[in-house]
This record gives sequence, C-alpha cells and structure tokens, in this order.
Amino acid sequence: MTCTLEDKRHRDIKARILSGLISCLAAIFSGPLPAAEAAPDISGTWVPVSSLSQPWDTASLPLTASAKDALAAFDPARQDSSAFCMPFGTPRNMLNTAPDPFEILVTDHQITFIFDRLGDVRRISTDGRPFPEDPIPSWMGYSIGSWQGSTLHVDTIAMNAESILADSGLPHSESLTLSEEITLMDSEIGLLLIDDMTLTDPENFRTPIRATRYFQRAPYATMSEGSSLCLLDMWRERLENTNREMFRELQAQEAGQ
Amino acid sequence: MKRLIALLVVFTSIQAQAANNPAPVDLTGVWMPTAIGPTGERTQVFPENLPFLPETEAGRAAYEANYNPVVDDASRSCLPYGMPRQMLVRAQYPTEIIQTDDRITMIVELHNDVRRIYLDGRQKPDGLLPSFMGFSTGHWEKDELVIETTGIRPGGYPEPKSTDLKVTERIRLVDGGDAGTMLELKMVIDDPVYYAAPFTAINYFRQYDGLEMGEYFCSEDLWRQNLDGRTGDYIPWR
Repeated sequence: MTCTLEDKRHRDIKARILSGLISCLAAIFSGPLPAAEAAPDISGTWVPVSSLSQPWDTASLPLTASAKDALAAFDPARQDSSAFCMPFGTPRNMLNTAPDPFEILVTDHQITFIFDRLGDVRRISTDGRPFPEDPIPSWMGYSIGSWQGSTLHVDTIAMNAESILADSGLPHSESLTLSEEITLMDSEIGLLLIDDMTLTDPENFRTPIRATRYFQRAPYATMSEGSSLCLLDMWRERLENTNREMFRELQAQEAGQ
Repeated sequence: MKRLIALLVVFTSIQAQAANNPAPVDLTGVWMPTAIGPTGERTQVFPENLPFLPETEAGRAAYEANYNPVVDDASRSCLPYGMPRQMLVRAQYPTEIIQTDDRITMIVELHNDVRRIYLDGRQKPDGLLPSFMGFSTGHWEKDELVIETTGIRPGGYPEPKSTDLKVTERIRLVDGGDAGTMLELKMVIDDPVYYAAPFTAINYFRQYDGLEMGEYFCSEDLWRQNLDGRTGDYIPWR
C-alpha cells in the first residue's frame, strides 16, 4: 500500500497535495495494513523426525508399467548411488527419514542445504532468477525458491535419473518436477520444519505423488564429514580385500608397457 | 581517577563493539583459485625450500623410494586433500564462501568438502576426533578474517602433517587491478613434528561473471563404470 503526495494525475499543485493527503489518510484509516509476514528463520541444524513421516506404501502408488518393471528389477548393490559414496540426490535427500542431520544456511540470494549423510549440497536460488533454458540434469537438480508469506515455495527440475527416490529403488525420470512448500510449525515436541512435496513425473507416476517430511532442530548435532568417511571406508575395504592385488597387477602392466 | 574511568568506559565499549559488530566485509560468493597475483605476477603456493626437519627429510626419502601411486596416493582413492592443502589447490575448481551471522562456511567443489569456521567464540570440544577439515575458529582483525585451525587428520604426502599442526589463515579482499577484487589467502603452517620453523603458503582467488558451483563427486567414475558393467564382480562393501 502506498501513500504519496506526488500524485501525477493532477497538474494543479493544490489538487495534487489534497489528493495526496486523501490517499494518505485513506491508507492510514483503511484498517490494518496487510501483515507483511516476515520469512521465518529456518537456518540451523535439523534432523528428520522419523516417527512423523509416512514412507510411501509402494503398492498403493499410481505407478506406470515401466516404473513397476524398474522397481521389480532394482538391484540395491549396483543401482543405489549411496552404495558408491555418491549423493542421494534431490529429493531423496529430503525424503530420507534416518536421523542424519542437515544444515540450512540462509543468505540474501540463496538457501543452502548441507546434508551430513553423503555430503549432498543443495542450493536454492532465491534471487528471482528464472530457470535456465536447458539445464544439464544433476544430482541436486536446479532449484528456485521464493517466500510467499511464511511459506518457502521451491520448484526443482533437472534431477538426473540415476538417483532414486527411496531405498526400494523407486525410480524417477529426468522430467520429474518437484514442488515443495516448506513451513515452520510449533508442536508438542517443539518447533517443526515441514516439507510438503509434490512429485510430478508422468513417465513413472500416472498422477503426481505427495510426501511430507518433518524435521526437528538439532542444535547440538555435530556435522561430520559424511562423504569423506564413506569414501574412507570404501577405500580401506578396497585395499584390504578385493582390489589390492588387482591394483598391483594393473601397476605392473602399466610399468611393463 | 576520572580519566581512568573514562578509559575503562572506552575500553569496555570497544570490547562490546568487537562482540556485536557486523562483519566488516562480506566474502559471500563463488571464488576461483588463481596463480596470478594482484599485481599480475605468477605466484608460488609454497616457499621454495620447506623447512623440513632432518628426520622428516629422511622419512620422506624412504617413503618416496617405496611410493606406489596407485595404493599410496589418497586422492586416487577419492579421499579429500584435507586442510591445509584443500585451500592451496590451484586446479580450476571454485570454492563458495557463505557468510552468515557467526559462521563462515566454505564449500570446496574439489572433493565436495565443507569447512565450518565458527566466529561465535566457541572452543574446540574436548576429545573431538581429528578430521580432514579440522576444527576452525575465526575472528575479524579490521578487514582481515583470521582463522585458526587445529584437529587436522595427520598424514599425507608430499607435505606431511602431524596432529600438532596448527594452521593460521589471514584472508582479505585486495585490489586485483584488471582482475577486479581478489581474495588473498596467507597461511602460516606450523607443525613442529615435521618442520623446523613455521612457513607461509599463499593463494589467490578471483570472481567471474556467471561463475557457479558445480557438482564434484570423486567416486562418480567408479559408479559409472559399475552402471556400464565395467567393474566385473566388484561391488563395494562385499
């Protein structure tokens, strides 16, 4: 609501001032101004509240035939990126209900999520930019967010199809779009961060599917070096078990050439 | 007496300001390392002769004689460089700095590493295990960000490090001439187990229009070979 003494519709100086005064008085007495709800502070460390989150019952999802086939053929040892110390990717990082903390950093142009489990770093641009014309699919996808009142709306596209949605191997395609409404809510167990997600992916879901995740503040959680620890374990295992001989042979071959 | 009280008042108000003042400089943004310093000259990260202790020199020679790059080079296994090498790379991978109230977060694209630098006065928790990035606290001295890091995971060649390693960084914005504003990083590396004296390493960072962070996951090669069926029977963890 604006109030200015420089109403340009009136050439006459008196009329301009009078009109300005009237619009100012109108602005003041026309009842309460619409409450400019400030964006709540979602920064800090959060951890999923597993008990409140309802995992999908895969059987009741509106899966297409190809999604059903992919799910049936899923081999967790070879098709789950996390087994290779690769990230979960979006939105599996948001859907994860294991008690792995993540941090939210809020700055003017960007909201950054740093996940402890596998080191996923998710950036949500809040500087008003549009989506790029032809984004390269990536693990985190391309996210744009805006505050509407006290709700953070986030739209995400270009999530690569190598990431899955759940441990079960629930697939998605590169044309998946993710729409999130992120809010804060007081509850009996303290402040909750709530992420309402809608996933649209006609290749895999006949109708959009939804999920809600709840997170609690975890100010005393220490973020570890999750991805490094995963790699460290994998490297040790590779050295100690299967691959040391293989590497020696490879090196001998290289030296012999 | 009055003068003393006045001095005390001034002193305490300065103290209070130091605690409450907002950061003098905002370093937030995406920064690319560069070998070209602010005056256009090519710079070296390390001084020419590192002050290795004699026993370190001998240990290094023995290590290099038996060095097997396939097995011994941690970066070939995708392990991060860790501090301090992480900040001294000049490979073209950017670092994002996110400056919030009492924290500075650095996300290094190479190896997808995250440094957390606490400016809220906290101390390193007792018994904290050594980590690749170590434990960092920082404060502002005028326009200069001073970061002290300890608790760094030992080991690593070609520049060995022990658990006694202490790294002190001084970061400031400098005029880089045609290159625009640059970030200057001067780092004092003090590790009495391996080095006779502290020494200073240096790095510079630039910003470009349109420079954005990408995704770097070192094990992506292994993952892709697996998807392509090129890893045979190999399955991690089995």
